[in-house]
Amino acid sequence: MIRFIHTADWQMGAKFSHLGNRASQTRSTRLTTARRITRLAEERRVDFMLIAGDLFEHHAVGSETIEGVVEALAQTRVPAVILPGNHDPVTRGGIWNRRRWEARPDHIRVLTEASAVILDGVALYPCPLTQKRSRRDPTAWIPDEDDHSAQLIRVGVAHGSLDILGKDLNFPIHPERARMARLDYLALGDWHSLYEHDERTFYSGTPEPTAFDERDSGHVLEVEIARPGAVPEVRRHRVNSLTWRTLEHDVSADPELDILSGWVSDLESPETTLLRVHLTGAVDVETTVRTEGMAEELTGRLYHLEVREDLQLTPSGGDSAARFPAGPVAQTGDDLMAIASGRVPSGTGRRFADRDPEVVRRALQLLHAAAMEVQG
Amino acid sequence: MILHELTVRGWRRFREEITLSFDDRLTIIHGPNESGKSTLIEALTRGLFDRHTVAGREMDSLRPWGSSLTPEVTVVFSAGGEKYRCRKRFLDSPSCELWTFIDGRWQLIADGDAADRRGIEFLGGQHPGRGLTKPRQRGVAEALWARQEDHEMPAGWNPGMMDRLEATLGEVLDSASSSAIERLISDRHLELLTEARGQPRTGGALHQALEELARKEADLDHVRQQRVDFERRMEDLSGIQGEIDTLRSQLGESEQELKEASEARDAAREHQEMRLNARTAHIEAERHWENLNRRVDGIRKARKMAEEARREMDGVAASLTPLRAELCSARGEVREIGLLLEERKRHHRQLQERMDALNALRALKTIDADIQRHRETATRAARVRGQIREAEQALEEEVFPSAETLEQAEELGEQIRDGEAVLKTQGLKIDIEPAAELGARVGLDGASWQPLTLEPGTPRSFAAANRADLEMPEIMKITVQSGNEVAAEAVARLKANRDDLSDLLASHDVASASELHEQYQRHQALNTQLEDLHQRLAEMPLEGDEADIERHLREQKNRRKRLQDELESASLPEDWLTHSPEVLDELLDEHAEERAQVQKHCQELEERQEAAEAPTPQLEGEISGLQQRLSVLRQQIEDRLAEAEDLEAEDEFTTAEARSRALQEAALAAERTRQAWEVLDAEKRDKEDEPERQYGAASRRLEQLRERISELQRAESGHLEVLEAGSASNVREREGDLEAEVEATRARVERLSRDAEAYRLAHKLLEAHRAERMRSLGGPVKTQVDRWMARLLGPGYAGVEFSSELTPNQVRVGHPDVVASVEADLSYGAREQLHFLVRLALGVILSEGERQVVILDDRLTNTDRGRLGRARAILEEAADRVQIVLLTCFPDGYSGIDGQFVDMRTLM
Repeated sequence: MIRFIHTADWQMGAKFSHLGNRASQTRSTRLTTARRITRLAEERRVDFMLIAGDLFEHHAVGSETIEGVVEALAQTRVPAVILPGNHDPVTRGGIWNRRRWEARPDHIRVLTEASAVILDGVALYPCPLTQKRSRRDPTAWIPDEDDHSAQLIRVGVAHGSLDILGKDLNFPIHPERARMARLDYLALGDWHSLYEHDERTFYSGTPEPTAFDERDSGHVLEVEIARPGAVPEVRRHRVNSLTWRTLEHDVSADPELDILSGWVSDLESPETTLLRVHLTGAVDVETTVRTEGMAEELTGRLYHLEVREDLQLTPSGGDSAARFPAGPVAQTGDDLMAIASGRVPSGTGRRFADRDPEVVRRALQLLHAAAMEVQG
Repeated sequence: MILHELTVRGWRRFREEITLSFDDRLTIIHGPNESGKSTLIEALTRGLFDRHTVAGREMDSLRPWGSSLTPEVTVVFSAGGEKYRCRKRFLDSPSCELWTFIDGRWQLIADGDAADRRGIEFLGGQHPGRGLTKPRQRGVAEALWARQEDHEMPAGWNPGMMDRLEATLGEVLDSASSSAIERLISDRHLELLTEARGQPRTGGALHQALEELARKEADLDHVRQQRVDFERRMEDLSGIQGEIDTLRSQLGESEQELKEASEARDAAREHQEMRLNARTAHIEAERHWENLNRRVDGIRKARKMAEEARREMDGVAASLTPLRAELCSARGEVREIGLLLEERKRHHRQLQERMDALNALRALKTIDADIQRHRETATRAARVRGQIREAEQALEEEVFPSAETLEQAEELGEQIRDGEAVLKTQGLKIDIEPAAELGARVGLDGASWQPLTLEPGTPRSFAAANRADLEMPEIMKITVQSGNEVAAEAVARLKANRDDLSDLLASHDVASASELHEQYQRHQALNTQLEDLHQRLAEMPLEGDEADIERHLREQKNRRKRLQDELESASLPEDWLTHSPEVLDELLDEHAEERAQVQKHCQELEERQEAAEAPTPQLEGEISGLQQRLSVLRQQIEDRLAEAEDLEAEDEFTTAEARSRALQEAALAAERTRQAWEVLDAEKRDKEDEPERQYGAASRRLEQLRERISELQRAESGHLEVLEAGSASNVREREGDLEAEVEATRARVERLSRDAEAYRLAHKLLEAHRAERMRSLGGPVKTQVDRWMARLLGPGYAGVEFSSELTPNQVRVGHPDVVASVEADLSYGAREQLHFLVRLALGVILSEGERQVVILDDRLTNTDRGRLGRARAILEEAADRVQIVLLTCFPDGYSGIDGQFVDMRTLM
């Protein structure tokens, strides 16, 4: 019987530039997750950890990140077996040749050759990548029978896309590879969401999510195989530090944005949540000003907030005089509203009709904000 | 604001303090030109708007002419329901104080700069900064206070005026907060963009964000370059690795190739050794044959040379015999001539000796004669010299008188005789003859005493001229004296002459004059004799003095002795010794002739001997040469024979047959080895050169491969170092951070840009609406002015149009469509009236809020009486709503109006 952790796509050193001032913190959070995984391996008393590619995001990853990864893996004596993926392929001068990496402890091992490796009663069939892109199936070399067939548990480890999506894939992997190569388990990496293809073929997904559109990331798999030929028992463990959430919200149905605020309040840990809010619906200018205020307020509560607005501006319930003081301000408000609604204002405002609707809408917001500021 | 009181002191023409009180409705201040009306308005304006500390030429000119008084002005006014008093003192100890009237008394509420500022604010003015205020800084006063010089209106009123107008009218028309929002939008717009061109304002948030973005993008570019370089090196490394792998496989092949080439080269070296050995063997065989051949040839040549030498030796010996005979005969002739020549030379010597003896004999004879002659001459000379000595002695020993002495003696004798003759006739005479000899002395005529001896028998007479003293000692003394002068003189003269003569004779040792004469003659004779003797001696043939002659004779004797010795050894015939010199001369001549003949013969013999000796050395040389040649040839024969024998002994083959056989064998051996070597040499190219060349090529190829690999490895390690450094500097993480920063900054820039544009749009729209609004705000003013203009100008006038800043710019005349420009088309009078009404109307409108004062200094000067009358009515009507202060030179035009008239003349 063997038991091991199957994980992949740690993507250490990923930039996360789009997260602005959270970019650096997000990178270091991944190291926290890595340490959590090694602690888990120790707790679960597994025989080894199998990292199925893309441990690192890039060959140019800095020595501080390498240092952090080595430290995390060296927290335990559980052997770590690492497969180079398409982000960190085996290549001269690459990440695996860095001095700091080469000075790692012996129990951290990189599988750079496509040849069977025997490890505590397991025959590992690694499929290391040596380039970033290829149409070649990296698992094609795994023999269906060899000297180890009878007495050893056969585990394949590869990085690529199961050829089930019906389009040009990078490193396509035959969907029947486990069966064809008579593998007890095929540990896959590359897809960031957890995916069970069949009882012997699994993507563990990335242990720390990397984007809003990931369906089921943030886990590692604990795999237990009783004996050669036995069906593996696979158990998932949530290990992520940050949560990436997306929220669609129709503002026209909730002009006061109460739901939004309530939803954030209900979050278990808003300070580790990255939220993308997609606002839709038809709103008046007061509401757009309110959404801005709301966004500012939520930004302070969340780890990161991204707001996308697809809002249709509608005239307010009353005329401008209701919102703006009479005189030039009210007249200007009327003109801006008309332009924002696609109409040509009469009189003085006529010559501003061709202005960029975005700018016009913003001008309306600013005018409104100024009015609120003056009138209290 | 309305005015109550104005007090001025020390201000231009107002040296003393004057105070002017204003009516709340209408005050008409009148006076002729230059009476100070405008000065009062100036003092009022400066008193409210200029800072008290302002200085400069213009302020200095405020002082009354020719004085140093301090300009001072006090204004009492009401504003905002309170009453104030503002007093300013300019130039010297400047000050400003503002009081308010509370609880029945004045209280100071501000002074200094603060009081200045408060004063300015009452009419919405602006702080002037450092200098004097300008009209546009005087707020409402710009429009309501028409100074004398304000003939035209500005294009628009200042913001302070507009604000007051808006505040007054807007309150009625607009909500209060509109302008606050507009200002807020305008301010925010100007924080981001410039007003004129809408460019990001330097130092504004947008500008700063743009600059920050540019900086961060530059930083990002720099890091990106590093990352791109990193990736390029990664790619290069792959290439390098591939090439190294390829080269390494080539290296294996090349090493194998070199190994094979090395084995081939070893075989080639063996072949080379064999070939060189064969060549050495051949060279040795060849050399052996050559040596052998050379020795056999040597033996033959030596024997042949010995034979030739012998033949030559025989020939030389045969030619030697006749040469020897010829030499012998030549030597015999030379000997004979030699004997004859010897005999002749001996004879010549004998003749020479006889001649020498004869010459000696001849000389002997000459010497004898010479000696004889010298002796005779010497004897004669000695005699003459003796005679000369005698004569010279006589001349020397004796005293001979001279011819003069002789003549003197004869003259004295004659004089004595003459004296005696005289005395005989005239003088004294003593005649004495003593008996015995006695001594006496005589003195004559006082002359000194003369001793004498008187002897018996010898009578003595003494004659004197005057006195004669004769003393005979112990006997007697006789003195005879005469007085005769002639006699005395004669005696004296006689006595002197006798004395002289006596002395003369005594000196020549003679007794008488005759003796003296004799002596003279003898002297003459001796001199003559001496001259003769010297003449004789000089004529003698003497050679030198006696010593010379003696020496000469000695030499002649020595020569004679030597000649005699020669003659004794010459053994001349005995009789020749007695021959005379002449005979001897003849003999000498004979001998000389014979000697010349013998000498001539000798010369002939010497010539013959020389001729006979000439061929001899040549013959001797030839003979000697032939003998040497014989000796050389003999040696050659010996050497050659010895050589041949040695060569024969060396090879141990003494027979020609043996020699021939050995030669043949050596030739065969040389040929055999040559063939063996040639075979190997022909194979050299294929079996030696080619393998060597191939080895070299393989070796070079291998070296090149290794060099290329090592070059690539160096490049690789260089790349690896750079990659390592890139990793160490966390290039990717830094790129990520910078990207994030750039992203955030860019988002901020976009937001600010959009906001800026939005603010600008809102601002422009607000501005447009505000302008429109102002035009509509101008409505009440227009209505008022239109109404008054219609009253003032009559029905031909249809209305006035205002600019957005509420100054009139157009007038409709008659028909609403006919428009006239105020500036260009209206007459001066009409324009003046229009301006008057506009200011008045503005004052009335502004007074809707708080009552204002309108000051009109010297207006309506070009207005006819009719219109002035109508204007007066308008003024009266307006004065109900606004305080009016009118200054004019023509108070008559306003007579009857309901207002306070102030005459400047009374004021002064």
